[in-house]
Amino acid sequence: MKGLILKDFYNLTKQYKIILVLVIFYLLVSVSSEDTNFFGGVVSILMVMQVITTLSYDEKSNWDRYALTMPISRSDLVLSKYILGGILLAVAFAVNFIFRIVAGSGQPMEALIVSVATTGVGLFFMFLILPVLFKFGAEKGRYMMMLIFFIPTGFLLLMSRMGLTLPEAFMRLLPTFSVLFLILAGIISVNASLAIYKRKEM
Amino acid sequence: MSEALKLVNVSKHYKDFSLKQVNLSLPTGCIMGFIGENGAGKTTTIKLILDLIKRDEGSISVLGKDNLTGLKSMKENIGVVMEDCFFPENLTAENVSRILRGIYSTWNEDRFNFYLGQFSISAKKPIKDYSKGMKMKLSIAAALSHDSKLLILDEPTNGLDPVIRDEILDVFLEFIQDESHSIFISSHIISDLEKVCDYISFIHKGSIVFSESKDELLDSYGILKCSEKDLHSIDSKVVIGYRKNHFGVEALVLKNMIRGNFLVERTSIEEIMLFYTNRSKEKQLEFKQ
Repeated sequence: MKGLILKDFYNLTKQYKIILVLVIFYLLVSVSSEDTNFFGGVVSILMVMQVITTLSYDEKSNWDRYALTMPISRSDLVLSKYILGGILLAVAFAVNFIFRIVAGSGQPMEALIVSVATTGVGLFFMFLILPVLFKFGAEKGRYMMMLIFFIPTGFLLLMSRMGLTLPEAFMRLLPTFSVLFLILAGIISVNASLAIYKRKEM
Repeated sequence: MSEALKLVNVSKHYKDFSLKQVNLSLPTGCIMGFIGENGAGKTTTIKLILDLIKRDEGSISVLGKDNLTGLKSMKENIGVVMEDCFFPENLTAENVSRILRGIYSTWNEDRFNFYLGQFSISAKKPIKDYSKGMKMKLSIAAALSHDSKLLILDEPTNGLDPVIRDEILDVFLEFIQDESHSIFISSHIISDLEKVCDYISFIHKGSIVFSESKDELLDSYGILKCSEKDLHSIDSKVVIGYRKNHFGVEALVLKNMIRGNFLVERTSIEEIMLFYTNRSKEKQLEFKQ
């Protein structure tokens, strides 16, 4: 497992300059437009995108097939991607939190809540796309991913168009709901990925 | 004698291709060459051995254990080189060593570095700048630098120049000096296999045609040169296949079953394979007519 994650990090070091440039660019956009929420979301999604990048590198060289000739199981391969995503999102969380303290209102509690929320969104997207990527591969999966992103966005858009708002009571319970929802999504996602991958012919 | 690899009645069915009732047995301490044309089922067989694809029937044991139950721990003792699977392209040989140290508990960094030196692979060059030969060599170095007892090699010398091929074959011969080591190697460069193998297994259209010791094969088959009329006087069971030329016919025959005054020349594994695949069609057609 350690070897697998190390492999992904080595693979990503080629990318880090581009990522750094992107982060700085969005940082400047965010500061100049005084929209601090924007930056957090971008960093989270950027990190999730890196997981996809590692998957497409793996695919290009048939790494999975090779790895399975080593003392590595199929579930190790699946779980390593979730762990990688978790680590990257933890980095996103730290970056976001510091940014909010420095550039935002400066209140630690508020910074913490918002950073947790954006990281949660990133986690949710990761849970959503990983089973799809394991099923269809990174290349085809990219397009499927677009489709998946449109569904919740479209749904929210439709709701606001129709003037629907969520009831007050629901809004108060939203944090609890979100956490429960995220845990559930994680369990379903990991199990789906494991099941998909176990049956895959390499 | 224990077996490093044993396949019993292994089958796998696809829509357009089937691997039918494959039986193979590689005794410990030996090298088995696995030959057959492209698409005959060599890679499919190797994937079944490694449980990369699920078999439909039969049983496979690797180093004495069933490949479905004991595979993860057993893989510590298997080194695999496959033609089209590799490390992601941004890595360097140095990275590979670190990664494999985290994967194999028996990873031997010194040995890996020794092979890098021997194969003149630079430790800091990214894999995407490698030639095909260098990729193969890096794969082989990785396969040899943990506690491997069985090497499974799928076309390891394919596309490489004769000098590199010879160099790699020498490494394999060195590996097999240890009696507990075995090698299963597929290739269609048959001259390579003829140099190193103890056993030859020949797969054709998903079925094993023969799996025998190399010396026995070369002893039992021969090339008969005679006129077409003479050929028809020979029992057709003894003739594996033949081809016509200006002077008469050349036929692959079971040498020891030939009676009478015929000239039978020594053959090679390559000719045996060619007669079995191409010429057999011709022969069957004509005998049917």
